[in-house]
Amino acid sequence: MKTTKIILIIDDDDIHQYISKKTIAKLGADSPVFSCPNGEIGLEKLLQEYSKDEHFIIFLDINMPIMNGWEFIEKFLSLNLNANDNIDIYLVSSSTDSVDIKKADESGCIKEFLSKPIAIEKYKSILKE
Amino acid sequence: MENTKINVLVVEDNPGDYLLIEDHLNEKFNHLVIDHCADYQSVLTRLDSGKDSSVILLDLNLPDFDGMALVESVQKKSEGVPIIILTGYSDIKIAKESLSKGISDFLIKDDITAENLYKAIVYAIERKKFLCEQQKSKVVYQHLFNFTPQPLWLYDAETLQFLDVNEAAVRKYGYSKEEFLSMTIREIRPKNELKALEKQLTKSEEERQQDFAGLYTHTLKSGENIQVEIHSGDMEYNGRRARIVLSNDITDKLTHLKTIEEQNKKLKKIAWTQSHIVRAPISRILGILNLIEMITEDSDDLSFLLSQLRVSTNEMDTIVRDIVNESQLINLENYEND
Repeated sequence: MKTTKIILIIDDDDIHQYISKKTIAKLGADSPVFSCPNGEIGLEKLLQEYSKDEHFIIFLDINMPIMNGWEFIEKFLSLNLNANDNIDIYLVSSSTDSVDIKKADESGCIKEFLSKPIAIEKYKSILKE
Repeated sequence: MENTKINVLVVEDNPGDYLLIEDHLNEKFNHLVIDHCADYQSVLTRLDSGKDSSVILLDLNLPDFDGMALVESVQKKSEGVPIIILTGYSDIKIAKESLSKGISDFLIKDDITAENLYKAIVYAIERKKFLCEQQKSKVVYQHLFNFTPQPLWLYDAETLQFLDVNEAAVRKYGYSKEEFLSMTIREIRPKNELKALEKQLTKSEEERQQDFAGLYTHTLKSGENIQVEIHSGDMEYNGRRARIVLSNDITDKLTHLKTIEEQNKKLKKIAWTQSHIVRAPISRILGILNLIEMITEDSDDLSFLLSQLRVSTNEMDTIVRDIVNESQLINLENYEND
């Protein structure tokens, strides 16, 4: 059974949202893309759309109002949402700060740390997986 | 001792007794000068003349003065020359009493031999030398205490009264020595720290702390507060249990440290801004460029302009990344976002 990819872009930067959506669309992916302006809304959306048969890709920004990326991860881990190993979280930040990169590694649930802007080739390989 | 020149002043009114003593002395000492006084008046004249004596042999009964008053008077006039009292059995009580006043020794006239007279003189002179040395080292310690460039004081462990303060303490705290000695250590502490002081004192009493170090606030006479590093230790002073305290003013040091810490914080803030704020618009520009390139691969002019825009933006991106890396070298590890 072919699983669908459901994409969540959790980021308060409108331009980043726009660029990501457009790029994904241009690459011809038919995945549904949800834009969430902060971690709290992102979490709500994830719980709403969650199904263990589907593959989720989350592009998670670090610095956001209300619930930032780190708080999102904390909540995500405490709710044990990835019991079926069907959610890939990519931490996305304009930061090139080594502290953030190290922290992402240590959290244990981040697939990869991506520095903005995400290269087109990167999108292609993520969507193909 | 036999070869050292000694000068003995014999105060004796009885000529027979004097002759006997003279004989004994001559028998034992090679380099000897004997001065003889037979009454109190001539002793005074002799002592006022400024001539030095190594030791004074003093009869307790002179025709013009006697007893304890005689001893005290000669002692005062002779300024530290050891005195040995010559006495009969009848005055033995006074002789014993005089020992407590600093008299070196007493000899019963009927018992005097060349040997015990010699011994008494040698002991008296040697003991005096030793006391002089002790006095000297006491003076050295007093100077060490007084001229140490850092404030030092002694206080009574029970009453907390200042017992002694050095010159540096007077200069630093602004109180004269007299003022200090009428104060307790409570008076150089800010009022709001007095409770903590009592607590600390009780604690060090209970734990019998010998040495103690810590940071405290002290108040100067001017009312200004200073931050001090304190070292203190137990000691005995004139029979009282006392503590000696060394105080080091570190107010300036702490201010400098605080300034440096604040500057560090600012630097970290700048580094954080570089990483998170400045790179945000650059990443957007680069993202938009990606998108535009995808759409307009056919137009030559546009793709040239875009490529130039990309070159410049990449350049700026590299610069920002370099600055971020540089900043991380000045320890970004503990910086929190808020």
